[in-house]
Amino acid sequence: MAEQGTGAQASDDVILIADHITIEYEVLAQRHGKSPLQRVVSQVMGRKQIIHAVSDVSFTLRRGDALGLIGSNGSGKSSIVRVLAGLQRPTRGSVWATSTPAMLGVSGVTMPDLSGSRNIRLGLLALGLSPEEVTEFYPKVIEVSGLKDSIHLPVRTYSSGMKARLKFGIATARTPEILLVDEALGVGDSKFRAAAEARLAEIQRAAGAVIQVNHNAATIEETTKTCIWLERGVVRAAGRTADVLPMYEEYLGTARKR
Amino acid sequence: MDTPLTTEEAAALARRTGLHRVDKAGEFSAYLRDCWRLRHFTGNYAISRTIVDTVQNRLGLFWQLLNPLFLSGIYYFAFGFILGTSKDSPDFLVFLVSGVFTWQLFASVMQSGSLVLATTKDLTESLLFPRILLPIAVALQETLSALGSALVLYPIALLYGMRPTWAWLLLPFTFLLTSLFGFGVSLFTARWVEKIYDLRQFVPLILRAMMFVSGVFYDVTVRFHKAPHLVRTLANFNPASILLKLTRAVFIPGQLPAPHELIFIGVITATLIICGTVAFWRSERGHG
Repeated sequence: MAEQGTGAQASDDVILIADHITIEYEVLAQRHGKSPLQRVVSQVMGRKQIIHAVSDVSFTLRRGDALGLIGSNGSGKSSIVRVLAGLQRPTRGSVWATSTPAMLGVSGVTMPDLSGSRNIRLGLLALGLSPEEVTEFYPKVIEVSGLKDSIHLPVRTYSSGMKARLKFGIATARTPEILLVDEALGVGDSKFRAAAEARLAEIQRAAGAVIQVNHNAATIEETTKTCIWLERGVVRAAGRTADVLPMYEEYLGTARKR
Repeated sequence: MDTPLTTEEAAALARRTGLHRVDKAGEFSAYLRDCWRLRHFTGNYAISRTIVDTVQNRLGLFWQLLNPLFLSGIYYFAFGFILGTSKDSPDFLVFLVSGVFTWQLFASVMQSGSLVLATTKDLTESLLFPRILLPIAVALQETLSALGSALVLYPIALLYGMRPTWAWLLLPFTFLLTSLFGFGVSLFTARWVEKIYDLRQFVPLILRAMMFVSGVFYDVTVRFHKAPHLVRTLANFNPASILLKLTRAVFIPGQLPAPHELIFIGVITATLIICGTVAFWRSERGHG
């Protein structure tokens, strides 16, 4: 069958499949009673309420793809990313991938009482690097994070920008096959931002595929070709970034007017 | 953008292209392989925790030594002197001090192990690694620092007038078994405390209750001698009191537990660790 042949040809490039992902959270509904006793009772007896964070999202990623996930706060972007990174189980659906995608953003071990240098070693080991690889990648992390002068100080003395740089350096030390970028460059000065963007571009060239998660249309436009727009966990539009973004911006505009 | 696949098509495509499920824990053997692969992280995390503890306390690891010695002093006064349990053993000082050190090791492994998942959420929520490595690292940390301080038992026994025997070399192994038992228990309590955070309040209470019935400052066989048969059997099969007896036997040969008690402690420790590991593997990635 010729048709199946071409299908197999194309499917060789498939690197990740997200299949009908639905994510729900069960929370206790907190009702505010008048007396402390009423509040305690409602805490204990409270009805469980289901929050639909993500409803039925599917997509396929191929080698060389750059996919954007866009949507306003609370649209379910971060929940999807956590499921893709294997950190959370979806309520329904499944994720298939060549290797577990690496998440870039808030991740990275930090023990505030330890020096930046010790945190780098611990963080790299946690990512699965061998001690030899840690020694090999260590100078690169210091270079990317730009923390040369304060690397032996405890991390608790760092500014939030410095902490972000440290985590960025650790997370990007080794080039992953599938990279999830969850609004990583939100913190840091312009000098660091330039260095970080250069490193990201380098990773994107080498990585199999990149998923960019952001609420900012400009970032998605710069970095992706296709994108999915989520609102309250539901896919509002999916397709070429150039087609989807105007709809998102129009939605934001009308939402602001209201 | 592709047209969405049905679940069957997606699964078939994934199988054809050799993809694997990300959202599910893998095989048990793969889980164990992952643990082994990340052994350097486990060791480094244990060392890092020790450094943090040491930095926070001026006397650092010295507290590991001071704390049990100080407690031994209190117990000697309260139980040995006032309540007269010192006649339970002719070598009561060594009996008490070796018991307190053993108990402190078990208690610290179980206590820190029980809390470790609940207190390191920032770690487990941002990094993907077998979470069983956390209680392992904690057990490692507590065991290493306890082993160092337990060396003080030797000079104490010498000063007390005991002659060194070959059995003295077995002390690290009795400590290791104690620590393994505490680790096995923490594999279960850690997941319960993570799920229901209030349970952490019970951990010190349970430990306190166990300490009083396990014969840290009295001899179980002496004190439960006249108790009803059931109570006596339960007291004798209390894993903690078997472990205490085992450490004491290093210095006081008369304390050696019966063979069936030794088999019992071995079997229960192995069962706890094996079942606990399987339970961890099964619960993996269900959090968040």
